[in-house]
Amino acid sequence: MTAGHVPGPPPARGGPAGLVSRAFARLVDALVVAGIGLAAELGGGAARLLVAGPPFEIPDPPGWLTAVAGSLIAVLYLTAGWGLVGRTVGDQVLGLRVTGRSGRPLGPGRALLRAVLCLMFPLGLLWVPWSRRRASAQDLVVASVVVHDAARRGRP
Amino acid sequence: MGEAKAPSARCDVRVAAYRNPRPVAVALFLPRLTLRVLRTGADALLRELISAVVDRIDLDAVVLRVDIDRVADRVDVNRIVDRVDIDGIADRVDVDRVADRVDVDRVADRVDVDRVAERVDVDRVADRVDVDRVADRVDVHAVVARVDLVPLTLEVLTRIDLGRIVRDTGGSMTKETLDAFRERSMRADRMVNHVADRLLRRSGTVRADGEDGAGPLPGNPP
Repeated sequence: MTAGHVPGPPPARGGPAGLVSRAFARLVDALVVAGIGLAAELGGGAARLLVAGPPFEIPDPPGWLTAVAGSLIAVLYLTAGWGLVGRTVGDQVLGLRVTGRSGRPLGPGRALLRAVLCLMFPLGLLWVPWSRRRASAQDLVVASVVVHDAARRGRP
Repeated sequence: MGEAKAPSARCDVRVAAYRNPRPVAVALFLPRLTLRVLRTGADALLRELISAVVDRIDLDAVVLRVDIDRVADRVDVNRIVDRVDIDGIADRVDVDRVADRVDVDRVADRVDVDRVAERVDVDRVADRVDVDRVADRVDVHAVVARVDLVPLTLEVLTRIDLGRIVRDTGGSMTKETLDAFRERSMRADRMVNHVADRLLRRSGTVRADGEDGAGPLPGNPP
């Protein structure tokens, strides 16, 4: 990232989030999902230890099962984040919030649809710079927006 | 009669006078003897008289009639003092015995410490204290060596709640790190958006909740 002349004023809070911020947020979410998956595997190994006894072994499921389980975890994670609080862990770290165009939170249905679309077509994020509203392909389908909205603590 | 005369002892003379009495010696002997007898008698008489007078004298009455003040006025104290050998008296004084007899506790009890303290001008005393010289003489290492650091440190940690400070510091550092990361991400977003806008030859964007179309120019508030 060059520290050269950056034209334009900085976006005010509530302004649309750009490609870089959203990409980093998704990266963080991917790490979180991987952590959840690892915890699930460790939990499975612990359960098997309790049932079948030692030795402790981490389950090694087939690839398709891993893919399906990981996808399911990701969809559920994204749906819960966007549908309940409007942000996932990655959004929280980058100070982003996912809402409808009116500013209201997405409902569970729209959140689920958005999550599935993000998982199936992650390259839709690349549309953000080209859109005037800085919307990704998923945002265009679900009619959602992602804005900068870092939580303020203790400030009026 | 041809015997040699003995040394002039009276006894010898009297013996000689008795053996060879002469009229002169005989004539002087009787007066002498008489005088001696009279003298002895007079002495005895005087002693008796004096004793009787002394026994009859009322010394208390005599003393009462003495004007002590007049006597004292006539006494030249300075001459008496001049004759007193102060050094000799001081040499004879056993200071240790005197000190042993002094009851220090009773003396101390009679001292009003508060009044003594009130009369002490602390500011003047403090002004005369050379703090630098006092500090130079202080062996800091020895002082520190005598300090038990472990309980002192534990007490300090308990009072200052180090855990809360660490939590607050950690939270502040985390928040500052996140804010810095977010700011850099936002700058990167603007840069990417600007590149895209220039490629598409358009100006600015619309608000996130606005319609499609020409939005406010960069630099203009919405």
